[in-house]
Amino acid sequence: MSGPLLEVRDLAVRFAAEEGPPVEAVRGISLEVAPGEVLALVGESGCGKSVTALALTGLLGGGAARVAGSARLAGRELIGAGDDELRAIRGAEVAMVFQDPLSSLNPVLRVGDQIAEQIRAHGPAGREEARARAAELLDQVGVTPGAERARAYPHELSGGMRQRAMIAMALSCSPRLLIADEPTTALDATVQAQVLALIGELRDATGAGVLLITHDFGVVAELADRVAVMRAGRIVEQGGVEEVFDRPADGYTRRLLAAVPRADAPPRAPLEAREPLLELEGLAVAYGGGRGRIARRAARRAVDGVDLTVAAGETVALVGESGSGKSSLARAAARLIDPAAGRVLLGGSDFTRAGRRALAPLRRDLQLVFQDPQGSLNPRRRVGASVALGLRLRGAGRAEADRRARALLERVGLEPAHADRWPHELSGGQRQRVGIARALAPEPRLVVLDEPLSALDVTVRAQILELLDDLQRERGLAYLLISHDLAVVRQVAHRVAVMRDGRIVEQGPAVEVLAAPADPFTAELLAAVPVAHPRDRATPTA
Amino acid sequence: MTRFVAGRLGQMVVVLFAVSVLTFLIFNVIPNGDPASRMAGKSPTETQVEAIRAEWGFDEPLPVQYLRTMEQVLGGQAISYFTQLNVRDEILRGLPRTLALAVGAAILWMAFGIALGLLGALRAGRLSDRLLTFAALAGVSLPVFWLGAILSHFLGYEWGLFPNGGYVPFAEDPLDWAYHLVLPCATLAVLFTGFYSRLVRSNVLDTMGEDFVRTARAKGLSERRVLLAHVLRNSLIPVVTLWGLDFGAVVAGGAILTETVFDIQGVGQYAAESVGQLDVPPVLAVTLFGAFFIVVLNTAVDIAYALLDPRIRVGER
Repeated sequence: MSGPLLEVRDLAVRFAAEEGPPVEAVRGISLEVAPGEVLALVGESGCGKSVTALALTGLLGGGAARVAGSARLAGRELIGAGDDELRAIRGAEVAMVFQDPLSSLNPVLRVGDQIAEQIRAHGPAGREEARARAAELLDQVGVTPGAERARAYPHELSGGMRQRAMIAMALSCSPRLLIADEPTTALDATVQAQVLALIGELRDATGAGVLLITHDFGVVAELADRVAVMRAGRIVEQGGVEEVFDRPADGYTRRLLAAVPRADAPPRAPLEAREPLLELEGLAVAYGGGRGRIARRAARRAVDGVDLTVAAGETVALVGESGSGKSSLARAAARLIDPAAGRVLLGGSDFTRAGRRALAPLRRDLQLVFQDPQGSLNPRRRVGASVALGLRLRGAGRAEADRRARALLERVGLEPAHADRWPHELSGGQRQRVGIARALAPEPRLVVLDEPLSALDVTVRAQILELLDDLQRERGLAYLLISHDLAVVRQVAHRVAVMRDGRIVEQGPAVEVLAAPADPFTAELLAAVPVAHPRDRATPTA
Repeated sequence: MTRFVAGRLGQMVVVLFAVSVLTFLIFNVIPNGDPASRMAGKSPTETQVEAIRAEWGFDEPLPVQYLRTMEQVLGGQAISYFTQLNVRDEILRGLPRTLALAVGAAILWMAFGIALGLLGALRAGRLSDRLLTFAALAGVSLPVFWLGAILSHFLGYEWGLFPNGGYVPFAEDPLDWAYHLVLPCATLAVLFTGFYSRLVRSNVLDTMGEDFVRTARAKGLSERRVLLAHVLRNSLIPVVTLWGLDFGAVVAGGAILTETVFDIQGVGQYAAESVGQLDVPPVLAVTLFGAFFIVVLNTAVDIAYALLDPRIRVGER
């Protein structure tokens, strides 16, 4: 049989709204996926790409969604197919891999049993046979030894292993189409590279078509054969991956591509030597343990003897994988947690053992901006009040604090009137701007940015980076930027420190560390960064 | 695991000690609580009261009285001040009755709670869900003594469908035993069913929104399997643990009203009567028995929780 494996024509999805007109999430899109082809569906959050995937498999659920148009899988119509027909297709012919493998796996069932369950749902296999097959599949995707890992619960596996297990599950019935919805977004860079490579290999081995949903052009450049760019429920551009990267036809595609930090851009030059503002000496943070002597010995050292300085006006990036101790280090520097050993100095004063009162200068001069702008704003406090609180605590009168809060909101690119809004009324990017305004309120000298961009869309990231850069110039702010995204680090950092297992394995000027890494782990991190352009792939695909 | 259980046993000793001291003190500060003058009958002479006081040791210092009473209670030698019957024998006589009532009610409220809760969750927002919500609220609000009296009056006395209270030992006639337990168990279960169906409903609704349920559907599992293996199993973990706690509370005294309304003569009714007479030894014994039961079931629940949810490991802190 020739022709497309999946053929979507004029697919539209509307959600009935509680009040007002229905929301048109997908407005008539058409696309095709050939056997053995990877089609990347790219767009920013809320553009309708995940809704498209769920609509194809009849998983939108509830009575609220109305799906129109046509989607044929090898000639068979999926839209409007009966429940039993769709159930037989799901998992067997169309398999799905989702973003967060921890929440996508049932926490109380063993991984092997969750795979076996799918095998048994689509075939005559007995319990033991299905289990054996699950173990084989786990071996095949690199979760080894499969027979042993099959008996593990999801929380006992690492993030990368969990996503591999999800992929093993998706493959268990040899599907013709694999829908991968942001499969690597929740993973570290090195793990992302491995998972993308795995999907590529499996596509080559099985000849399945892949519909890859992502917001990340790096992922697209690594894996896709063709690209469909989606915006506000429509496909604005569709074409071969090189063509889209080289000659984007649509203005929105061009904006998206321009917003992607260039992994091949030259890093920033270091600043000339100046007095350090923040000094961490032999800093250590330990978790667990307790008061007893044995318990304390059993405690895990999240940060283990770190020396790090940040000078005024300087941006130091702290990079490393999740669990390497980056956030613990930042918290100890802000004295939000007590260090187990070492010293914390800011502006020459020692704050390591400072009590509540003595901490006041540190609390003013060092501010934090967090990853999740929604989770870090009080949902029951108006935005303006959140920003003004820091000013009020430092003695500003109500009217004065309110006036300055509005001025700060304006400075970070919001309207003064946003002060009267609730956090849930703002977009993710706007909320992160509020987070920055809140941090700026006490006029700090150093801002610790803990993964400030990872919850944001590409175009929004570029705007926030620009804002941070402007503020640094204007106020001489120093930044300690915690990030796992080396492309961002390359763009903003004067100096880079690489962290692994609680220790700093390498630090120095960005130009040196990023261009000629001395430590093998740094080199590994750099190699895992997705290529900037499909032509730079390590193994060119057909 | 051994350390966990040992730690719990240690805690239990502390809890039981505190409970016994408090109970003992309460009955010694209650006005008109002097047991000697109550035991002496109507209009006694001062000599008679003094004689009783000396005989029973009520003139000794409180700590000595406490220790002696505790020794009797723990040794099974405690005697009621008023009936002169051995307290341990009375509790052992009532225990099977209370347990039968509690077990029957617990099975009923769990079964109906899960069924109605699941139904409500599957029909969330529709008329049937609203009716179930209303029924659950009514069930929670009905006082046990009122509901018990109404059921007993109409189903038992007026229409003769069920026996009008009382208890028949299992050994005598198993069928009659079960027959006599239907109304009391149902009465006690109504309150908990209302509460449990709401709990199951909200847990099921929460779980249905989880990513792994979407995964289960994407795997092509039947809706029945999605509900039973993925949704219900995860929703019931907190419910099962709560069930253990509530069962313990019912055995330890939560069934007092039901037992009294239906004249079951279980431990609860014994406790109620003893409290009414300010009869310290049985009250102390029943209180300790109840506290013991609650602590044991708490421990059992914690262990069950760890078995049901692999993310929790017993003994780790």
